[in-house]
Amino acid sequence: MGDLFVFSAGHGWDDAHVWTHVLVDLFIWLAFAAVALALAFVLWKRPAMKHRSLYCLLMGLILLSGVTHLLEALSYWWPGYQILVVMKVLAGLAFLIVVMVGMTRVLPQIAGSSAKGALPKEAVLGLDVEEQLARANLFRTAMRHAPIGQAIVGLDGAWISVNEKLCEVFGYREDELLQKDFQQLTHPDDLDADLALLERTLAGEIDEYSMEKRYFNRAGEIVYALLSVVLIRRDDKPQYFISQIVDITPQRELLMQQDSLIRELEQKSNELQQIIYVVSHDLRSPLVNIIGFSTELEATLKELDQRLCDSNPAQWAVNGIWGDDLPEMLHFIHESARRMDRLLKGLLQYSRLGRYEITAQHLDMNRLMGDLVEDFAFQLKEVDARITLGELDNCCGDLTLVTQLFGNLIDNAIKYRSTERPLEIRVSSEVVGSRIRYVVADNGLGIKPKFQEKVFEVFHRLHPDLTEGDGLGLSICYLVARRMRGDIMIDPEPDVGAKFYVELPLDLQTYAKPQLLINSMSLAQPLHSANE
Amino acid sequence: MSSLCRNVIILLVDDDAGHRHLVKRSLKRLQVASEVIEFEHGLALLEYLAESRKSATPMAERYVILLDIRMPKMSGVEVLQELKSDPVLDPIPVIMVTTTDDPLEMRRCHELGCCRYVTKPVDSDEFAKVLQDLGRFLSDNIFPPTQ
Repeated sequence: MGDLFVFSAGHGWDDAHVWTHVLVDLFIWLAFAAVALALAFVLWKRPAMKHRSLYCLLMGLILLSGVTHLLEALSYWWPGYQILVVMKVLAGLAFLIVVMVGMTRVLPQIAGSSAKGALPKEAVLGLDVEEQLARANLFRTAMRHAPIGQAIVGLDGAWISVNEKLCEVFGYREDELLQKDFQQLTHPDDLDADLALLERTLAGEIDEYSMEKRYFNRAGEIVYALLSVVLIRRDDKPQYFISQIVDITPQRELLMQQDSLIRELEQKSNELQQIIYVVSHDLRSPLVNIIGFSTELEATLKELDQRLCDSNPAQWAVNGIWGDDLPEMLHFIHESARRMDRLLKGLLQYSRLGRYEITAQHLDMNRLMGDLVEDFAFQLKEVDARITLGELDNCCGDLTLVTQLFGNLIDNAIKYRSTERPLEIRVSSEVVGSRIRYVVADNGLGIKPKFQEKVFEVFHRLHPDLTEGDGLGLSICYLVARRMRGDIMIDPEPDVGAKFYVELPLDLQTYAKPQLLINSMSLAQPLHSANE
Repeated sequence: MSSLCRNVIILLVDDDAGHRHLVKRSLKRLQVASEVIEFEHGLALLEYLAESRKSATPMAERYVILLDIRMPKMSGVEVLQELKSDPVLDPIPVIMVTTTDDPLEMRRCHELGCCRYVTKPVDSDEFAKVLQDLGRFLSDNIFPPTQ
């Protein structure tokens, strides 16, 4: 104490002064040390922090400043002025460096980067706590107000955090929902599938999954949802799931409505097929009688006529009833019945086509047309017709149906040939987009533009007086082309006769995916399609 | 032909009386002299056959069945099925005479074991042709001339 007194005597300090100074200096030293320790702790906890060296320097500065105060306090007992001066100089230098480096270089960097807002991902870690908090807040807000249901789900299935939309979808308040787990809300039929995927995710087989599933809302109604789940791991240990749940109930209901409509249509179509089938059969039965008995009647009449004529020729010869009227009437009955028979047969054929099961395959068209021409050889020879087959591209379709299609076209050409010139039919092909277009051209009567729309209609006949057609040939062509996912068109203005374009899929792939087909209608405007 | 067919009985199963009548007239015109027994539906035929099982003469030598397909109660195909699943009735030749020219139906009948399938043509000339064919078929295939 004596030393202290001598030392301080020159300054005229009293005891109270001295002790106040000592205590305040000690307190300041402790405060500086605490701040430095706190900074060291932060630096130790966050090794990835940017400008680490600057923070270290700052820590050093704080420590040094603290030490100068400690030395000041001790100087009353131990006058280490030299060390105190050195410490003060060091602290001053540290201040200078911190101010120069920190204020002039690092500060503008931090200020500038946060002003830009959009940081590269790796820079996020370097953001100051405030910035990070702001970002986390923003993200939380985004999740809370997201337009689709979002949740953090525990490994046991409990809802850890849910957003507003999810509460709305399920009809629960947030606190109610958090009391439950997803298993409770899941439709029992869908639970196993979901759990299985969950297990696989936990086992590390998959990282995420999506599925369509049903939940029950608060009212006990089914909610159709599209669920996407991703598992979050930390250090390879599963932590929690992030689930996104999109309510697709309206779409599902629409789909179900469509499905039921399609089923209804299918049923109606089947019924119609059945009706056509049954009716045309049952109608043929009485026809057998009408034709059979009118033929019998004709024979009987002839016999009767003969006998009466033999017994009294003079009287029967003048009576026109037996000879002319009755046979004529019978002829009309007979002919009408035959026409009806043809129509019914056609109808049957048409309905059978609708029920026919297609086997799409690669078709060797040169062979198919060659066989067809052979089949028609007799008829072609009979009318002195010539058919020219070009080198044909192959296509894809049902052998029977495509054969029928081209058979009908040849048959049509023969039926509606011109009497002025011998019939010539030319068949060629070209590739149009993903289809093959076959051209069947003849030099016959042709089809006037105003009738072209009609020719594909069922039972429509352009020349009822000419031939015994059933009015179904081209309708069947149309039906076949459509069922083959192709098309049939008429050239509106061929140079001569009629010109049909038949388009069929190039290969099985385009057959299987008709949406890939480039519709040639958009390429060739003037063609008249049966499709319109 | 007529003499060969004399001993055989034609069992004509058709719900349409007119068709039966026409078939009978045509058979007569074609001089098939066999006795014809008519049935309005398949059940009646099966009842009749159940009764005649007791006879000693083998079925195939006694009967030929002309069977329509579209009939009430039991369709011709069902009757055919029944006949072919019974070992005693199985040998009886069955000829389907029907308005159905559906290839699927035809195939089915052939699979089931009918001898022939003729569609009832509305055209009387063709009908005669078919019956003529039928007569030839009866004499050639079922009752080959015995020395």
